Amino acid sequence: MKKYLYRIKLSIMISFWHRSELLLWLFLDAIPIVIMFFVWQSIYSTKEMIESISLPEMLQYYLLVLVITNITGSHFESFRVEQIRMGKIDFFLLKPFGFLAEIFWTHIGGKLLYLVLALPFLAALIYLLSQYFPVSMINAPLAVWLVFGALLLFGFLVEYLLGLIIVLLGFWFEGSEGLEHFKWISISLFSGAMIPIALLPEWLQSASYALPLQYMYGVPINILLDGAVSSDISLLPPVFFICFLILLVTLLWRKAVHTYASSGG
Amino acid sequence: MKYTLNSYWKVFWKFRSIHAMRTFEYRKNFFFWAVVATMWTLFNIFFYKILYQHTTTVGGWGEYQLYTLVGLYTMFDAIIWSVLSHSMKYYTRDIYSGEFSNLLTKPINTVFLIFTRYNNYNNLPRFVIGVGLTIWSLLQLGAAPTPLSLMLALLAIGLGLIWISAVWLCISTLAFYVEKLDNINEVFPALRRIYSYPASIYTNTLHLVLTTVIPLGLITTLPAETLHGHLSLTSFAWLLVSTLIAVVSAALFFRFSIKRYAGVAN
Repeated sequence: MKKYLYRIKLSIMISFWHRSELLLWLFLDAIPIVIMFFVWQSIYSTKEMIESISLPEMLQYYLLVLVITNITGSHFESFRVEQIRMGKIDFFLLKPFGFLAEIFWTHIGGKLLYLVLALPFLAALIYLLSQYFPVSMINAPLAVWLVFGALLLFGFLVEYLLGLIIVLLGFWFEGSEGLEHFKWISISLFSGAMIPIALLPEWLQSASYALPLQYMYGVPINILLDGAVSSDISLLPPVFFICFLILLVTLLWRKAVHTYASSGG
Repeated sequence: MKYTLNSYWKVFWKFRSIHAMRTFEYRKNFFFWAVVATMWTLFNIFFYKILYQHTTTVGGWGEYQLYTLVGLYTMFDAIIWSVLSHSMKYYTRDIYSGEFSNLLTKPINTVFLIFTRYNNYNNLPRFVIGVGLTIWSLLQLGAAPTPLSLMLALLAIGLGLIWISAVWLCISTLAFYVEKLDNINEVFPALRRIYSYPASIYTNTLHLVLTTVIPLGLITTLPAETLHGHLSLTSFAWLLVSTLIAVVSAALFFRFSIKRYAGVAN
């Protein structure tokens, strides 16, 4: 355990060194959501409700999308694929601290520091936006917050494991970091991050409801906005999906180490 | 040797041909990234399509009117990702690595080199989609731009591109002053979302800021409105003035900043 804690500490220190970049990312990531506020405000100027969603609910929805993105997002793919391509992972194949463990604990450390910076930023942003837009505080019972927290963990793991699969494909495909874009598009489209699932065309709604990605954004936001966990919601699909992704990562890793070649790394 | 306009023209096309050769050397890479760029473009268009399933206007713009704007935005985006993003990335990278001296010592204008030496062709399909979407939306609207409005729209697009380049140069030039800010070149790509919608969606002070102080709101709105036959001469004149201010400011800031540069023997 000591070695993992040390890795987290090291990752926090490295991330802290890049703190100005992290702060800039926080600001830049918030811009599209703020623009969406203006878009929806403009759309709602001609009607009260859209598919039984009011303007305050819609704005709260997008604020929660921003919060969830900040908590669950992962962006380590390009750097790790480059490491594999350049033959820079020999160290992790020889030492009792594997490559996958290195990615995971580094990601955890970086994420912890990011959250320390992100949470006050998000609180300030929400306060600022509430001065200009009809955004109210969310009032939900503890049980709902707990389910929301569990689904945040699911979202974090899905983002991480999908990222890891992209990295592992780097053992076979040169431009595998480009698959990151497929990840972003799939998550945006099917999870409810781009637009509430209820507003999607019917064929896309059916696809979104059939896929577990809805548990990343759509489901957690809706339970928080409703203030109750509907009996229709089962936590089994996300659990099975995580198990499936872990299995896939394990299989890919076993195959990948046999294909890896480098010299003098 | 004195470099004439003709020499600049030749150097410009030399760089283009080098990058074309590079593109065809890595054909698979080109096709892969072309697919990614096309996918993002279609994804964006799909998003607007969904919006219009629930409303008839966004900021007073009808569906096909907005598609003209989206078409123009897509064209701007193609140019940004093909040229500006690469140019600015290598510019700041050279400042941080100390290789910027290579550019300063060349017997040709440094800013010209910064903007022309890199590009890629991965976003070519995106540009074609943008042009196609603009023409298609105009046909759907039954709008037939006069030669004058077409010329003014092209001029507005040109001014917009020059304004973006000048402002981006200013932002990237900050690399002379700040260390460890590799994502400085992500600032403009994030800001470009502002002109992916009509300027009219922004209200009150923000609308004023985005159409005067930082005229990002005019970048796509102005040429789109011109193509729709609603030319605003005031906005047009203001974009022209803003572009001049941006170009002069960028040139002065660049000249002032290179004095801070220190790099040795590379």
